[in-house]
Amino acid sequence: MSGDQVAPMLDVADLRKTFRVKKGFPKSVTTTVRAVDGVSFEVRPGEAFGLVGESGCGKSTVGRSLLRLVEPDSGSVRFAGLDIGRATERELRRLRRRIQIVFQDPYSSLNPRLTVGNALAEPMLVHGLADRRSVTGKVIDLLREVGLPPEARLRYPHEFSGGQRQRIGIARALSVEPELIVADEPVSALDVSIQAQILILLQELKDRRGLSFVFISHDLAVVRYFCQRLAVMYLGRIVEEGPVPAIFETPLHPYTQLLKSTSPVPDPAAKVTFARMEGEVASAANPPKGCHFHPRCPAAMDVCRTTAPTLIQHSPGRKVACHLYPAGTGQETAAPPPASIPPSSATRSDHA
Amino acid sequence: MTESSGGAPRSDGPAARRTVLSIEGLTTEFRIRRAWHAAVRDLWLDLLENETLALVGESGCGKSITALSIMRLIAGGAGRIAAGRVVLDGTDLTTVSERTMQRLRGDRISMIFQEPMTSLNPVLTVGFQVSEALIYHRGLSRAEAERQTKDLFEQVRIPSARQRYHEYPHQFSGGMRQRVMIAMAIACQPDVLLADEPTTALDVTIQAQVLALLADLQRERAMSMLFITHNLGVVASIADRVAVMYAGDVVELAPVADLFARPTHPYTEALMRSIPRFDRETHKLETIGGRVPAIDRMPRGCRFAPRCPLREPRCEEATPPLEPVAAGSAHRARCWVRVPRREVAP
Repeated sequence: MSGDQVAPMLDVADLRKTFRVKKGFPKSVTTTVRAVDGVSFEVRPGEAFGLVGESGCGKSTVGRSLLRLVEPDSGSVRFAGLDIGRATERELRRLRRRIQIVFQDPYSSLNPRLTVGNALAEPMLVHGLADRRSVTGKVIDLLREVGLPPEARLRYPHEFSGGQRQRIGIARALSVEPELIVADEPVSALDVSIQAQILILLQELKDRRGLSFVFISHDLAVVRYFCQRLAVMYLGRIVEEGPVPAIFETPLHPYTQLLKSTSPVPDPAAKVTFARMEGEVASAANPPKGCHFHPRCPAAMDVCRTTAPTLIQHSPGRKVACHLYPAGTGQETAAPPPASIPPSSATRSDHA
Repeated sequence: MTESSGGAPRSDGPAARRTVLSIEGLTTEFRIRRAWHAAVRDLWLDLLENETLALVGESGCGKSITALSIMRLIAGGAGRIAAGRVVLDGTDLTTVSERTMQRLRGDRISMIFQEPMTSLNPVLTVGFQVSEALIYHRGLSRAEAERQTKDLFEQVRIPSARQRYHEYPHQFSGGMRQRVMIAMAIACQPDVLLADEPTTALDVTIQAQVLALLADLQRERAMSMLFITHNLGVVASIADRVAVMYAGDVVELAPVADLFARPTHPYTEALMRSIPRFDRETHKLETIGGRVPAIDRMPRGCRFAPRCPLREPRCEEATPPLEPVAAGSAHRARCWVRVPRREVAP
């Protein structure tokens, strides 16, 4: 991987977010869910960065924190040098034009009483990207760009199929000419043939408009197709990060290895090694001490039960948070990121 | 329809296996604006002893309707089984009384669904709900049913099974709830298990556990399983044979290795080319132009023809039969172009 000479478009540092959840009846108990627990990553211009993990790992909370749709507790999100966390309302509105989000279920994010044309026109008018006279032409251009006929502007969201609605959701994100799109499981609710259409559309848009993506997904195959780099999350933390082909060929973290071995492949000869290993995903409300993955980890050691590993540089472009890889074991002793502490003295655990 | 149009390959394989459930010409219709339209049309499928048959297709292809028709769970009024038979052990399920059907459901034939939370009663303990099946179908005492239920929980690998007997569904995770459903479904040792997208709502690592459990149970109990899914990866890992459905028709039926090695129907082929893979580079994804026709606007002839790159005039005239791709082959496809009609067999 080329190094750090390119200034990142998005720079996320030590992002943290907890939620308080009241549960139980008649006596309710308030528990604190640590949804995001110190997440850092960078997205380069024109890059699609994947955020992968199972439900509850915090990937969507990270996605929403990037636009301040959820307010992070601490940490920083810098977009093109601007600190999103410190932005005023006005600045934030301008920033949100440059960062857009596409959701999994476009139906719930489209106003059912607004025609598609109005839904697409409104953001352009609000942000002053079009006036009343030019807006219809721009709406038609947008629809064409996402593969919908011009007449679609006169219809309502319920008149469209799931795949078409996702095209509308994408068109709306594009309407304000963003530079970065946070795509939160954009193809997960779609049938496979439709999924392929949307992936191809996103790929074309990325190439044509030079867009950057934070692409959130639980599907390794989709991420491999669309992304250049990815981070794997487990219970609020990034456990591994690196370039796409390498992570899939030689996953470092035991959790990434588990994901790889349990993801079904459409090839009867390559039967998945059915994990007869039992164990459930622990809850983010009550994560295990030390490394969050240790209760399910086949390679767990004593240190894993007590001390959370930090995300260290393993080899050029690749990072891993696992005690199996002490700092400096990579072929190149590239300067580890500042947070890195040798495991023997690593005491930085869950507090912060 | 001719007799060649469906059914399992009875004659091939080293030892022809017994047919446990036989679907013969099933047609299930729904009423839209005072007219009946077929969601499943003249479906012929045999589920063999001790096999897992996957029914695969995209939303609306009729795969779930097929399972619901087998269980006779099609809501009356708006839907009906218009033709065909579903024969389980010599009994035609489409004609027996509702009372008989209630005795058979959960006993000889049972079903698990995608979302276990909606199939479990939230105000009853999971133990009670599973033991109920044993009390109703087997006439066991409550104490004996409880004992057997605890054993079942162990067989489906619910950790601390004995303690969890008295817990409620909301205290279980998604994967554990699905295990409870599986325990309920297999409690009476059914001959046939219908599994409708049982792992679709689960995370991959949990999906792998549940698939492993189902595969083990299917083998240990010599059960036959009809496994409905849209996920070709899951099909490849669990199925013995596969039936691909499109717009209410089975368009291809084959042993799993043959299907993936030589997808013959243009729809199956297109489907396989439209999925990205994580285990190797996907250079080009292909899409299927157009969309699935609406149930009340089905084209004449082959229902895939309007989207098919190989379309010929005859495709739009008559529906092709589900024919062996080569003489005597267990691999069948419904395509005029790819499986030319042979003249009278020798």
